[in-house]
Amino acid sequence: MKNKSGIIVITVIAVFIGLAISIQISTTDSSEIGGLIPVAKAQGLEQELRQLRAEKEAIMQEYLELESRLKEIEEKNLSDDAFLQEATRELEKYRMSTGVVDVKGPGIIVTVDDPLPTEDNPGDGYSTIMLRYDLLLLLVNKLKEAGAEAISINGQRIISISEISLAGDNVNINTVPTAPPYTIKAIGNSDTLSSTLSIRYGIVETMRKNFGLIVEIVKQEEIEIPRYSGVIKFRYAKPINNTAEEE
Amino acid sequence: MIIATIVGLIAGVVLGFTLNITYPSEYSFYITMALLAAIDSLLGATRSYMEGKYNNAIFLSGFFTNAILAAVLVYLGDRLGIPLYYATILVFGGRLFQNLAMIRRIIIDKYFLKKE
Repeated sequence: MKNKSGIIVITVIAVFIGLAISIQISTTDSSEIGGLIPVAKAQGLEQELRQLRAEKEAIMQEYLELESRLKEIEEKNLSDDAFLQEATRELEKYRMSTGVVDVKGPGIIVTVDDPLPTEDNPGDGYSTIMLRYDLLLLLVNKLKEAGAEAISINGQRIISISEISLAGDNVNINTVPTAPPYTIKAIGNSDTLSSTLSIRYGIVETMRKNFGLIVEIVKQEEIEIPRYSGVIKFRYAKPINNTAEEE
Repeated sequence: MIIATIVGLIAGVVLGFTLNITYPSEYSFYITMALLAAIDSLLGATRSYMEGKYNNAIFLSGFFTNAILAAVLVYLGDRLGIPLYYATILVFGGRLFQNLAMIRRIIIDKYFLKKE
């Protein structure tokens, strides 16, 4: 009798353990990182990431401070010399064109978002605009064609070396990962800009009709576009000094 | 006896897969270690049953204390930053093989050597 109860208990416990094993297997399969990562390690990595982010933020802050101090010094040294004043104005213009200063002015704000999933088309979990990021490139190109003087996408200023490309699950702009909804700001003649985009068979119509994207254009009197926050380095290109040779 | 254990395990696995339950993956490490301890207890019970020394109270208490101790060691190790779960793996893994060896010997003694 005692032995019989033992068999029952062992069988019940065996069923229980089997249950735990199968649950464990399905859990390990469903999690991306797998089962064998101790909690402490994951927490450590998370901590490290947070620390690096804070460090980056602090360095960025310092960079901006130093830059504003440089500007102050420049302005202080600005004498009444007309030539120097002219040179400073010229410098400011080049700074604006390279995108290393915040700018503001009239323009348009274009928002692009993925189509809402419907019953007929529930979507496959991928973002349309991210897969077809070339549409963003086309849009930027059209804006430039229409005479936009400064363009930014989700806060990333588009400058001469900016890329828009799909990298893994993100669309990288200025090497910063971005995700929809996309807000594209452009400074320029707002009427020209918006009519260039929304012309018949134009880019916006293509995006709406062919891809079902939700595109909206808003004209505004004043738009602020942030500066390019990266570092522009020339490692290969060198200026050719033509004037020196001609003289 | 060993048949009851195997049948129970298979039934449990099938049941688990059909129910398709998952839990948060943060706990997966604790469960793995507790599972190791539980499997060891189960094999130990099977062995002692075959030796005729089985006792319900000993098995059940051992089953729960071992599983809990394993999970606690993992937790403590995580907190202290020392991989204490190695202790669980080594001890219970070692005992697993030992118990299996004993079961093997008992079966061989019972069914093969006695016939001679």
